[in-house]
Amino acid sequence: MRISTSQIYNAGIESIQRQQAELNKTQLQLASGKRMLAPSDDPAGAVQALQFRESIARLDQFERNGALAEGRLNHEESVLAQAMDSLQRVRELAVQGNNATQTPETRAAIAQEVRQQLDQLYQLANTRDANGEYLFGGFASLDAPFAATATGAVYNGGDQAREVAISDIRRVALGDPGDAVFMGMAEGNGRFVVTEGAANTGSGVVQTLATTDGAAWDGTPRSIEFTAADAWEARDPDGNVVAAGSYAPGETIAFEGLSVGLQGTPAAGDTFELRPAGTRDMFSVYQDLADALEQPLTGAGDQARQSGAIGRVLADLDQAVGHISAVRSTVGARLNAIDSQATQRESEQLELNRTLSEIEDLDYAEAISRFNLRMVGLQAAQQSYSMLSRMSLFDFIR
Amino acid sequence: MSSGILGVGSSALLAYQRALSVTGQNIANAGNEDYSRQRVELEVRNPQFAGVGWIGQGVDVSNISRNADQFVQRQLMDNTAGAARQEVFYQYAQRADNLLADADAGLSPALQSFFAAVEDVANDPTSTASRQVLLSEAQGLSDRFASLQGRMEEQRQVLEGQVGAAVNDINGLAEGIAGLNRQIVEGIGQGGGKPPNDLLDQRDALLQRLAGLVSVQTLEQDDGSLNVLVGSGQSLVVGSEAATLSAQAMGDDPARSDIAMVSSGTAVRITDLVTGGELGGLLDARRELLDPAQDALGRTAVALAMSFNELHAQGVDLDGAAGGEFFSVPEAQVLPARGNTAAGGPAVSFVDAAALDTGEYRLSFDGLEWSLGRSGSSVVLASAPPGGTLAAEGLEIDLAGISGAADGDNFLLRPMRVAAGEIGVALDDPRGFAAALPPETAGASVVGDNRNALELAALGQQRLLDGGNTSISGSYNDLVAEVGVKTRQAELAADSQARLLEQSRAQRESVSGVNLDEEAANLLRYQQAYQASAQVIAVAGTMFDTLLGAVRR
Repeated sequence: MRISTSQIYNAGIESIQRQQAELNKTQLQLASGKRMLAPSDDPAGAVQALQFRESIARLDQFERNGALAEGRLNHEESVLAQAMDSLQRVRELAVQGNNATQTPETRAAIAQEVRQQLDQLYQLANTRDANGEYLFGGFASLDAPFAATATGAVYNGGDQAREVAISDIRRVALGDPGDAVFMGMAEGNGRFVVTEGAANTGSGVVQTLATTDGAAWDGTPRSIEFTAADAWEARDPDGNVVAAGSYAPGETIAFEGLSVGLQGTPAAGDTFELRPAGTRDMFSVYQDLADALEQPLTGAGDQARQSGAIGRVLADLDQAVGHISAVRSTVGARLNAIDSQATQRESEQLELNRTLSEIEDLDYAEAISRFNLRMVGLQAAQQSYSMLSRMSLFDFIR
Repeated sequence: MSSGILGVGSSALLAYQRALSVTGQNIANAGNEDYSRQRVELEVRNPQFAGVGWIGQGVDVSNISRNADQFVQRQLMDNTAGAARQEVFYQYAQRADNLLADADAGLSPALQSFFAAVEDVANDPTSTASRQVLLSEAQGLSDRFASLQGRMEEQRQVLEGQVGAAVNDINGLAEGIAGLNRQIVEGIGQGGGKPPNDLLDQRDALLQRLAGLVSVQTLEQDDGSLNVLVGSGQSLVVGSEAATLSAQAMGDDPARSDIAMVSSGTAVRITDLVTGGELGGLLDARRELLDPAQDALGRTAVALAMSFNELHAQGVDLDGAAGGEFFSVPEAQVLPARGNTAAGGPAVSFVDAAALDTGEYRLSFDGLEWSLGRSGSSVVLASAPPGGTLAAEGLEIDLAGISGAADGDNFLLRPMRVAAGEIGVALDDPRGFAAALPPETAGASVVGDNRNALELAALGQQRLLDGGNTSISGSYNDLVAEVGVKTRQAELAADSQARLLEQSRAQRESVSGVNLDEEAANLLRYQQAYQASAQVIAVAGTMFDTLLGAVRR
């Protein structure tokens, strides 16, 4: 093929420019560390990279959420531990106050400490987190959830706790609404409660409660009246006698599948009121204990009532301990879930980052050798161009 | 006899002088890309019979020919048009490509930060600070939409400007070709049928430049002039007359220029017939790149705004009031057709994100009812009587605002085209963000409730579009992929077209280009022939002198 002079120059320049463009691209890749300089370099890879980045950002968000939830739940856990300590202390005080060797003065001092524990319990229940939100307020997290009134504790919070997402499918509650933590505990043995009559004069005190046949009792209150110191009869709310029997101190009164263990000697005419167990809150248990301890003692009846009340408080405190333990175990379960999600997430993040890097990062070894190759190519093009351009027949015409 | 030698010698002197000057012309134009090398064609003079036989009478220059191949020229024009089209298209694709995937300017990071801010409010709904951050991120997101839209709109304006400039250039070149046609016809006449080579080169050069602007066909006429056709056979140049193209808006969109062929005062729209060259590339880029990209981006904006608002309205804010508008939902672009008698226009609202589509719709009135169809398709998607409501493809069109419609009135609807520029943040009070759901007991405090915020945060992952197959970020990723693939294809096509162009240039150079070594050799050859001819004359002179000397004695 015939070649024109300008073609020689054009072809030379063009090949130099092509080599320069390739060299420039490789240089940009090396400088940025990215294999893809624009999505068009690898459209599918570019979109994958976008998706991976989004997934990674999502996981980072879950990580932040998890850290937040962990902080909140740890806080709740520590508050619950303190509530547990308080329950233990109050239980000790109740046992101590129930001792016959106590004088009215020492009882008053114990009652004083119980009231302090009550104040502290209110403080615990109204704990705020770092943001100033009440831990146990539910959705109404900016209002103090528990208020002390003349008739006892009132819950003003919401009945649902906030959740955060720790994975695409898993959400954990950041706390528990206060009424589910400090309120709603079962009373007595969970079935029924027996109290000493307010006008009792004898020393009969309720000691133990048990159920032998769960179906026999219809669940309505019963009144147990001692017709004599050694004889009793049980009446239903209509005044009908449903059972009767004899009693000796320390013996158990049993009827309709229920058994009530008494101690001491009731006087004739003393009554014991039996009612189905309800639910109560921790605050009123503390209140009851303090009230019982401050009760002036003028006779055997008062003493028996005080002793009976403290006994019931002890039973309720045990219920409270069980209740708080149950809440703590759900908190622990949530913390575990956050932990296991975190482990799973870390491996996922690692995997995603690795794949992302595979998609968009440059293989430096390959790129550098390509860079060298291009440079050699460019040099060759430049050298051959300059040599070729020096050739002319005119040089030989003299 | 000696006069015969003298005649032969002087004819040769003259011929080689011509040949040397043509060689000089070739050398002079060695660097001129439009030049076709010329060649002297020598011809033996008619011999004379001199009894003993026929005696040669010397040499004549029969023609100065131009080394040009019509077929090569034609191929070069086609390849120039193809390469220019691909080059322009690739430039626009590349800009869109870089714009969309830019880690700083693309939409993805803004979308991520926005949904992260929603999640942060869910984590801490009572914090005004995190709510404020959410509003800022929402503003950032809508700014990002607007900036992407703005950058694409800029591209569109540059493109429209380039269309106008290309049309002007085409007109100038057509004038030039028409003028050269006249000169060439005259030249052929004056030269007794000999072609004016340099004028032909000039005309070819103008044709090449014209081909760089738009694909043309040429028809050579017997008189040497060349007719130039554009589009599907519209005459741009006929003999020494050139028609005029103009870039003007002829459709419903006053900002979208069409290409029109203006002859005797009437403009005929040839936009869809124009292919190839820079102009063809520009029109293709507008139709195949900018339109769909802006539509897709707009659809992402609309889907985000309407779904987020819908969910937001379910919730209640910090003060327990129902959630208001969070984003301001963009409005659809509605363009009344030229010559509509109707006043007012339809109100278009977006009702179903899953059914939303891109592209253009035509709402037209047949005298009885309005019907909606895809632009350029006769399929009726929905119809309703005047004053009624149409619903199709996620849109709801209220016709109540149109009055005085006559048969044939129509509107062009582009629901998504400008939407990305119109999304905004309607909420300005951070307390107004509805992170909570309505409480079960009316009036209860909801400050700590984050249930709606959790739902809103999950919206980013939800597949809302394309009948529930594509998420919001997914729809943007689709756009990135589409533009990326188009750019990749455009790059490959531009490369291969450039290679083809290079080849046909080489072919033209091979036929028509000047090779200086060849000319140097010719120079020597003609110079020696010239010197030899001079020697012949000298010999003739000596012969004459010899004869004279013999007679004088």
